[in-house]
Amino acid sequence: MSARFRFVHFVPDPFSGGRVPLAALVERDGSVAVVPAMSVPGPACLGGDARAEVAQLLLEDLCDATSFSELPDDMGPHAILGDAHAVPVGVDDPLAWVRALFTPQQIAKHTSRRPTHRRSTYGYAFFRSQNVDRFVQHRYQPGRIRDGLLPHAKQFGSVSHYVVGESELLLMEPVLPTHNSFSKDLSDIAKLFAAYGSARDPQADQGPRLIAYVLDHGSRARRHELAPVVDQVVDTSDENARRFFIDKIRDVGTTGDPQLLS
Amino acid sequence: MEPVPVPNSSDCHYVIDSGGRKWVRKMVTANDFMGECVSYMLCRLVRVSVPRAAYLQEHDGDEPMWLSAVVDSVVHWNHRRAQVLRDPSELGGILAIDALVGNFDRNHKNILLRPDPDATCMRVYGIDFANSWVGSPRGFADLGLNVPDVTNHVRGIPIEAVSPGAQKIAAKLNKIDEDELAAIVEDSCSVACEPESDLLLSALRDRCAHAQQIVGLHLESVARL
Repeated sequence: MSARFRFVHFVPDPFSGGRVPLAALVERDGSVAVVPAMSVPGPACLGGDARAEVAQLLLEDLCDATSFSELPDDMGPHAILGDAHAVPVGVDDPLAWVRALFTPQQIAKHTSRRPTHRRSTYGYAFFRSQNVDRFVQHRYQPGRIRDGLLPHAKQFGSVSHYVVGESELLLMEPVLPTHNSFSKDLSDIAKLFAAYGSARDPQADQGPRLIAYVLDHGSRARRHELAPVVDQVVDTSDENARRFFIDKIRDVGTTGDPQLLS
Repeated sequence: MEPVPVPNSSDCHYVIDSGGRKWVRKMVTANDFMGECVSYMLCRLVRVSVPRAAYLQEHDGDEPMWLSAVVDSVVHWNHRRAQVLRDPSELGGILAIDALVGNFDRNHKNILLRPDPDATCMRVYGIDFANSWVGSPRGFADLGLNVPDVTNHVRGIPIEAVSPGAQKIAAKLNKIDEDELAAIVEDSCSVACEPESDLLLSALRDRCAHAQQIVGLHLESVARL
């Protein structure tokens, strides 16, 4: 069983020619998987906030990658593919082997670097793994659709993911208990959903449903802290909970009309 | 000088001029140049969001090369990004120019989006008008008041959101002074050594006079995609 991999590089400035590895594509038995880098340099290294934003956008776009030979069409000129290499014979788990290329252990032991990926990147990868990504939209902003929120909700900021149906709206935030910034994440999510909860229009037939979905179950699983401000906390490591959650996304998403978003 | 890493753009290279300005340099045919040049000058005149442009001609009579200013930190269009446009009228303006000049190549690579200031608020730039009927005076005249083919057009355009901006630009196109139109045509034809400037001016004048109608029809065809 042979596997191949190739890096996807971010090119911050084509004139300097510098490259930053964003992820790797791994091909095995004809299927392609994406391994994101554990960390990506921030704005100071990349040359500004806009470049750092684009790097994160490209990581999200890479979730749609299905080809080993070319990148998704919408990635633009800042992403390039590196050369293809064979994963050494004898490697049982090519994904883990490639992932290790991004995580030099000696550095990890002696520094306290934090992963700079957005939680949303991991969240969208989860939806893709469950084959419901086509129903899931990025960055919900109040006022884009008839959302059952009061006008002042526009001040509250965006929610990572959402699914819009004919009469239902699911607003979803990923929770990663093993994330280094977990405490801050938890606080941010709680504030965001508390604000959205308070802005639900009592006159609306049906307001948005606020959902926190937990992507792993590390030792710092304080997700119960979110319970007062959300409608549902989904533990995706629980098979039944995960199945109900995915079914709900599919049920709502299949009734959705993309024109509602415009 | 590095090639621009976008598929099917083997004739595009990054270049930097003596003043430090950064460009994408594109080798073009005379018709492509005409399409770029007329469209760019119209965009500038009615304030449509396109990168700054220039041309490079080393000697008189040489085929000109088209230079488009590098827009830093961009991604291409996909339908998901329709929800994060900073100002949908920017995209509307681009589609209005496409309709007028008969651009049939508004594919996803020809719409650039730049975080402004972040990925929830993206500024739009239109690039590449080379495949526009206005680049070929005879073909442009034959187009009459018809709209360009949209087979290759990007999908997922939020038509309702972009329409007001498109019609605003159409109204501006409708009011362009005859002398300004003539100057645009004359300058473009002169560089490209295009002899049929009168035919081009006449066709362009007719389309500007019907700009609102043409833009409306073009948006309808894009909406049907």
